[in-house]
Amino acid sequence: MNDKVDFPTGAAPLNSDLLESVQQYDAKSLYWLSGYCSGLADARGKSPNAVNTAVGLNLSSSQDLLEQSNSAVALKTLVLFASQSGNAEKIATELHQSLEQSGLEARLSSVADIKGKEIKEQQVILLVASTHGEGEPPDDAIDFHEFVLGKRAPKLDGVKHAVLSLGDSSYEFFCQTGKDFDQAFGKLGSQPLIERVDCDLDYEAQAEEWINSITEKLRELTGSNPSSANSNQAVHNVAPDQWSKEKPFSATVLANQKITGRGSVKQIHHIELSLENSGIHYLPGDSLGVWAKNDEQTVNDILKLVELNGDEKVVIKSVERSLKQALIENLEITLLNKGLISDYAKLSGSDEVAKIVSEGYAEYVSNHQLIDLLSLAPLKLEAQQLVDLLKPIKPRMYSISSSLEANPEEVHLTVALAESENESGKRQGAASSFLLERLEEDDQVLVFVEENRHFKLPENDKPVLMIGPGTGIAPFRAFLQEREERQAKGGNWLFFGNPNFNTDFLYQTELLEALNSGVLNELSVAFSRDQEEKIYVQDRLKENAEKIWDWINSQGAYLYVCGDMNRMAKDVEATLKNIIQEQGNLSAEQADDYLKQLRKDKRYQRDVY
Amino acid sequence: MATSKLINEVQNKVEINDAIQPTSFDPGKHSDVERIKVESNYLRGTITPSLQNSVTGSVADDDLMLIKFHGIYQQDDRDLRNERRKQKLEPLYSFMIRARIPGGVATSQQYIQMAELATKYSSGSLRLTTRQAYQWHGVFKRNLKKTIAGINETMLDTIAACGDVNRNVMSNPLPETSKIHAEVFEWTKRISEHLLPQTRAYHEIWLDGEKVESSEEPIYGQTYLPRKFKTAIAIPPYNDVDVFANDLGFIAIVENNELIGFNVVVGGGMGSSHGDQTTYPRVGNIIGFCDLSQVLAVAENVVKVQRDFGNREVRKHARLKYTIDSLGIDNFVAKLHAYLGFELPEARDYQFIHNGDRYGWIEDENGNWHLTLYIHSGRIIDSEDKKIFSGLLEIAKIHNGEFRISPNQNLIISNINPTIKDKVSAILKTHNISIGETESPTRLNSIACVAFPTCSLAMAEAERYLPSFVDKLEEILSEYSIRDLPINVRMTGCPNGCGRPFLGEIGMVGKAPGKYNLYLGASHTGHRLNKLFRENIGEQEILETLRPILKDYSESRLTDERFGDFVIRTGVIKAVENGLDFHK
Repeated sequence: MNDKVDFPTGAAPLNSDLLESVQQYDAKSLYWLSGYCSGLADARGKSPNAVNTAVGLNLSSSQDLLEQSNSAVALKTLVLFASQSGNAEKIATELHQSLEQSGLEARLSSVADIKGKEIKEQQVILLVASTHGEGEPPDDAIDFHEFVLGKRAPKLDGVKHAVLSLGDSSYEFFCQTGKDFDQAFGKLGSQPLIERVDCDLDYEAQAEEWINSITEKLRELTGSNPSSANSNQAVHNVAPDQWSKEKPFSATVLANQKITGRGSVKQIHHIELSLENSGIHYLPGDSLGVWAKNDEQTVNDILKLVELNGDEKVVIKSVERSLKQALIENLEITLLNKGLISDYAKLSGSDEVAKIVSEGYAEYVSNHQLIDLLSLAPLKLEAQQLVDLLKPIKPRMYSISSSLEANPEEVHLTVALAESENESGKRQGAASSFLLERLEEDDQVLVFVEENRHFKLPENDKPVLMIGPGTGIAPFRAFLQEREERQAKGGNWLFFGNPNFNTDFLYQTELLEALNSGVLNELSVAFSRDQEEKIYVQDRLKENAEKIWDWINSQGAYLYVCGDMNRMAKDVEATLKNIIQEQGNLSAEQADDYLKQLRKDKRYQRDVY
Repeated sequence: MATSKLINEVQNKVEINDAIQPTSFDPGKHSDVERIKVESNYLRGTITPSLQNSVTGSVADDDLMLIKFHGIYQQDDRDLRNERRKQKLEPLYSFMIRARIPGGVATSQQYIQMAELATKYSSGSLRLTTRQAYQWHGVFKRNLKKTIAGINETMLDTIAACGDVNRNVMSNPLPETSKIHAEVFEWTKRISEHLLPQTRAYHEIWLDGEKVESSEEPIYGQTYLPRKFKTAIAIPPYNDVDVFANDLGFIAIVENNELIGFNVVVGGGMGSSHGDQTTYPRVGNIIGFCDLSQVLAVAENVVKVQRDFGNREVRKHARLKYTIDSLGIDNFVAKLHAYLGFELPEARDYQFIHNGDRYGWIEDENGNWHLTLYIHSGRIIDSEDKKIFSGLLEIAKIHNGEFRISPNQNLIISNINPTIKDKVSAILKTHNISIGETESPTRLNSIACVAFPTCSLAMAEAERYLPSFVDKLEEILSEYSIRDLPINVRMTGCPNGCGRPFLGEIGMVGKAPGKYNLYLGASHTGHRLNKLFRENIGEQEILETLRPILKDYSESRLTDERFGDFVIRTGVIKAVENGLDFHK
């Protein structure tokens, strides 16, 4: 217990010699000493709180010092989350509960609700951050991210921090946001409480371990006793749904209908699943996780390449299964990652494989799968060797396209076939090909609901402006159904786009009906390939600038964007800024702030991928 | 001017006690189409907003009726209807555009432009109609205005190609006696122009013409006609226009190689409804003769009598043929005379020999060549074995004459300079385009309407099915060695009459997919209607029904006796003397 603790010293009204000598004591002695000092200060007529803010040490009370040397001392602790879909928030909440159960006080907050300068008042900062797309922070964490990494960030000398990053290893900038924060905290003078942990989509086990380590570490630091405090309350807090990611519900397929017409360049299906008797609840804006089964033919091809027959017994999460079964149900064979490629390069000794990691990695993984990697340098493998190379399969998340109110005990999805092409042929996404090509009516599929608190309808009287080209229309179908059920008075305006009017107008008949019945007030569509010049949703936004501005600025409309992140959502955002700037007679910077404020007020929400 | 004043005076004296006032719509009485016309502000309706509405491929309900007056029908691909309903997509709507081309005559340059529009905006083919018009099929709403603007750039238009007005005026296409033909063609254009709607709506909507507040329709009034109105001119001895199937027909009378006037025919029409004996096809009545100075007045006043006395309550009883039968032909003629202010003298003699086309090369008195091509169902399209669309386009580029549509949906390339005759032949050969040398006369005399998949009225196949039906019919004809005799076969998907099915020696009218009513007994010249012989039967039964009759025909026909006359003479079926007998 001789770790050097760098608590803030700037404000301490003591000379450095004294502080240095204090550093030599162990934790227990220090706690005793702090209590002693506090008592002493009290006796001299000063408020303990005044001392506590100045020095940054807090005593639990001013009771008998010696007796209290065993009890907890609180460190001003902030549990933060930067969450896109709600996973980071969930983990942060669990951490917060774990701390409270151990008698450790802490404040839980989204980074969106924290003023930048508040972080310098902390002693411990615990952050769970998810990464979005190509290494970007979640929408409502952009401001905080900018602040912490920017010039105005405060010094954090003496602060302890810990970061858990969530990400997806199939992206090049894996867990980048977590890494950014961790490095920035370090640069600002903070020291890690424990090392940063980077989690892939299967984050649960790591997150639990991280929570436990932090709780343990802070208990050590503060001497807190787990049996004290509000443990009773905590028991009730953890009331997990019956169904979860780990324990998915087996839903029956009610309908699986292609909804792009003949000759379309896209293959998109509308899928209806039964949630009968599951008790599963969701709200418009939430996502459905789907555990896909890999394509059997591809699995057979893989087995052939590594000279295995598939009957070999392997162990997956301490359960014995056949290799083939494991490859179909448990292992990731469509998404590649650096670890897998490096490992296979070593195993096969292939320079060609090794080169992928250093040259054109992002491009390679965008359209290649395990089968391609193995084909580069075919190698006879042991069954368990193959299993160890691979990551567990991840569930794929889809924005739900139905309202539970309108469709009791059902959940609907709008899924496009993810397809890419490489030199050996077409490659399909695991889940989309499973859903579209291998799943028939009455089949079963394992699913779970994931809440998305950052994509929710406002009160009924607020107007809603929805921008959702392609499958980005999914949550808006749910929104419209919900608004109709609720008989919401607020206006609804949908912007939709796709390549061709004749074949790709998703849910056209439903939308026309909604227009007729008045549920949908405006429907603006852009079909990019129906004329010589390409027309996109942002062009429709531009055309309607004045009216959009009126909806936003005068009527208090809520803006929602769903769909492709890299091109669409960026272009849409730029267009929105232009509209705000021009229509509001604002400077570029003011327009920027205007949009930021909308985001803070939850009036600009995005679900982009 | 003087004539119209006279007409007004006469009109006021006529007792028009049973006339339905066209300008006062009575919602309790009149059909909804009358309301649409009245409310349309001279055919404007909400067509412009309909075109601008980008969330549907269709136009507003009322506009469906109004666009017909502009030469446009909305259709949808019926093969895809159910599939698209499941896909949560509206039907695949598209539009058929019909160009109004009096006499079916277009220059090479116009033909090229029309073909280019087809490539750019429609299904890549052109269709020739039985009323000598060009049609573009499968034009999507977003391209409608561009296509129509393009058609107008060729100096053709689509006004009144459909709708409750006088439509495209037909005339014989093949000018062997060029002088008479040229004169008759001028009359074709004059009648067409004279009866054209005067509203500015067309220019405003399609050509961005200046908005003119008040429009007037001196002939039609704001409710136009109760129903469509068809006009044709025939030059004996050919009745390829089927002059008796028209509301108004003119038969050219030539004396000493001079056109002196026309016999006037009124009240022809093909349409009927299955199972409704109050509807029937009817051949027109010849009601007299008019000289050249009277032609336009006759045309205008037949239209006006129909305007004022036609049935506006029940659309299927609204054609002129029913007006005449409800007034009685004598009463009708008296009213017409009163409107005209003079009486028509007796009709002159004339003779028709057939109503088919004369395929192949014909040289005229000036040494120019005219070539009639066989175009199955009028469809100018590139298929795997026949490149009709490309071939004709190639010919159009070297040809300085005209392209004429025959009333049997074939194409006549006319006034071919002798110097390019061989070149044209070579192009036809490389593109495998038929000039009717190898097809049986029966195939060359067959007509089918569009039917599935685009026509919304179709109950059975027609155009897509006719070739294979004729294959089987030819087998029987060959068996009895009568393959060289022409028999008119007319097949339609519904009883509305687009392919003039009731003038077929063998008529087949769709009832349901694969099922047809079989009609026999029409004359080969188009004078006499056929009659229902068997109801609602399929291919097998049709062929089995025809086989013994054809066998009999092969064995016991008189010299030059046509199949349609044979079945009457031998008592297979009774002759229909007039429309009212059709169901007897």
